[in-house]
Amino acid sequence: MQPTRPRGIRRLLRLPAGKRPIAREIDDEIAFHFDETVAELVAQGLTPDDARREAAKRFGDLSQVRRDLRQIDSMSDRQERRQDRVGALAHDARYAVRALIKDRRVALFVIFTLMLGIGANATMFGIVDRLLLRPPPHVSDDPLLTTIYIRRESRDFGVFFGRSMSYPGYAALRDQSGVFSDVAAYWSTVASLGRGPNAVKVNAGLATANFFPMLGVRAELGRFFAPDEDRRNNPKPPAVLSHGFWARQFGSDPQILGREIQVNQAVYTIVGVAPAGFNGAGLYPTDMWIPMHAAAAEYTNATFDTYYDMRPDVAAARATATYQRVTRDARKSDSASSMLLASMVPARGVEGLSGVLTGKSGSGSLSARVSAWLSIVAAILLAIACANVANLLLLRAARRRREIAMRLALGISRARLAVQLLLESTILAALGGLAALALVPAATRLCARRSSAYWTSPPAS
Amino acid sequence: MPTSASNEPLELLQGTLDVLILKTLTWGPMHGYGVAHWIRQRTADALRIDDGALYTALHRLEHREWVQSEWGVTEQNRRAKFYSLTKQGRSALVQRTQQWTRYTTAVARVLRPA
Repeated sequence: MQPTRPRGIRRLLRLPAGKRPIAREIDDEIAFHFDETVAELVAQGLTPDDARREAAKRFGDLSQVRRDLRQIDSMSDRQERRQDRVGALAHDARYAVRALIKDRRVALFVIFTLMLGIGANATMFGIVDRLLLRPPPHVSDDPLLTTIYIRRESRDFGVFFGRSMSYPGYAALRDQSGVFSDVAAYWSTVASLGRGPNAVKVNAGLATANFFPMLGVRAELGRFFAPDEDRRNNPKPPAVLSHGFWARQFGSDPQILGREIQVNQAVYTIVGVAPAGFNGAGLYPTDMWIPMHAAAAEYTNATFDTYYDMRPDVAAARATATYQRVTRDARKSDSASSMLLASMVPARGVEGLSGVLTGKSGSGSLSARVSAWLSIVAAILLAIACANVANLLLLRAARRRREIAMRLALGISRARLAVQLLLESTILAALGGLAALALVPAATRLCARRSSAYWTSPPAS
Repeated sequence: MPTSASNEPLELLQGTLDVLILKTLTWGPMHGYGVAHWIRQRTADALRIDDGALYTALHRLEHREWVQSEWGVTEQNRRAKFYSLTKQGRSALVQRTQQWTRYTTAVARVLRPA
C-alpha cells in the first residue's frame, strides 16, 4: 500500500485548490468496492452473476447512496475551500506583519503620522460635537432660542463680541414689549457651601426664574424657581441642585427637598433637583442654581451674562436701539466706560447648550468659532498626513520591486499579491487608528483646559 | 459480543456504525471495502450493515474531520481511496466507547434477572 498525498502537498505548498471531481471519485470508489466484493464472493464459489447480485444486495440502494455521498462531499469541499481561504488570509497577515517589522522605521513613522492626523480630527470633532452639534439633554430644541451677542467697538480694543451686559441693560430689554417673547439672564459663579472647615467650593449658576421654562427643562425632583421667588430681599430663597451634585454630595437622598443649605452669606432652601445631564448654560459643570435676584445682594457690581430671546428676526434692530439708549444712560454715570457703540447680534441657540454659530452675521461665540476653524485645520492636517503616508508607502513599494518581481516569478497570483499589500496598509491604518484612540482623551482634556482658560472663561467684571 | 436468541441479524442502533468504523480504522489506513470486510468478519454477520450505509458514514465522518482520505494503491496495484483516523477521530472514539460502555452497563443492570 503506497498512498500518494496530492492534497497534502498542495496544502503544504499553498497551491490554489482546483475543483475536485467529486462525482468521479465517488463512482471510482463504489466501482472498486463492487469489484472487490464480487472477487471475494467468486473466490467463495459463487458464479459471477450470483456474486454481482449478492454484492448489489449487500450494498443497498445504490442511487440513493450515490446522491447522499455527492451531497456530503460537496459540503466537505466547500468547507475545505473556506478553511483554505481563511488559512491563506492568516498566512498573508503573518507575512504582512513580518514585512512591516522588517521595515519598522517606516511603519512606525506611518503609524505616528496617522495617529496625529486621526487623533487631531477625532479630538476636534468631539469638541465641535459637544459645542455645536449635539442637542443637550432635557432641553427643548427650539429653533427660535437665541443667544444675544453684543458687538462693541472700543477705542482700546477695536471691534469685539461679548455676551455679557449690565443688569439695567437686561432689565430694559426684558421690559421692552413686542420685541422679545421672553428674555432670561444667566451667570456662572463660584460659591462656598457650608461654613467653617466643612465648607466646600461649588459652581453655582445664577438664573432668572424664566430661564428654565425657556429651555423647556423639567425638574427631576421638586421644581425650579417660581417667578415671585426671583426677587430682592427674599427671606427664604430657593436653590436647585444639579443631578450630579445631588448624587455626590447628598447621596441621591430622596428626602432632600426642603433642606436648608448655607451658600455664601445666605441660607437657601432646596426646592428641586435638575435632571441628569442638564448643566444650565456654559461649559462649566454646575452644582446648583440659585435665583439671580436672591444673589444680587452679593453681586451688586457684576454684569450679567447671556440673554436668550425667542423672536430674533424682528428683534435685533429694536433691541439694539434699546440697548444703546440704556448704555448711553449708564455711561453718563460711568465715565470710565470706553464703549463707543454697541449693537445687538442674535445667534442661534444657547452657548454651551447647542449651536451658536451664525454664518451671516459672523458672530457666534469665540470658542465655537475657534473650534470650527480648528476642525478645518485638523482636516487639512489629516490630508497632509495621508499625503505623507502615501508618499512613504510609494517609496517603500519602489524599493520592493525586486521582491515583488521575484514573488510573481514564483507564481503568486496578482490578486493574492494585491491582497497582501492591502493587508499591510490595513494593518498600518488600524494601528494608526488605535494609537489615535489612545491619544484622543488626553488631547480632549488638554483642549478643554486651554479653551476654558482662554475663551470660555467669563469676562472679568 | 452477546449472541442473539435467533439467528436473524440485528438492526444497528443509531450512531453505532460510526464507532465501529472508527475502531476499525485504529488498525491503520483502510479502504471502504476493507472496513466493510473487517466489520463483517468481526461481528460474524450478527449485525445487518448495508455497504452503502457504511460509505455514507465514512464520508460523513470525513466531513466532520474524524477521518481523512487519500487516494492510494492496493497490494493488487489497484487505485483505491484509503481512510485513516485523525486526532479528533481518535479522541471521539475514546469518548464514544466510554458512552457505549456506560449505556450497555446501565441497560444490562435493568435487564438482569433479579
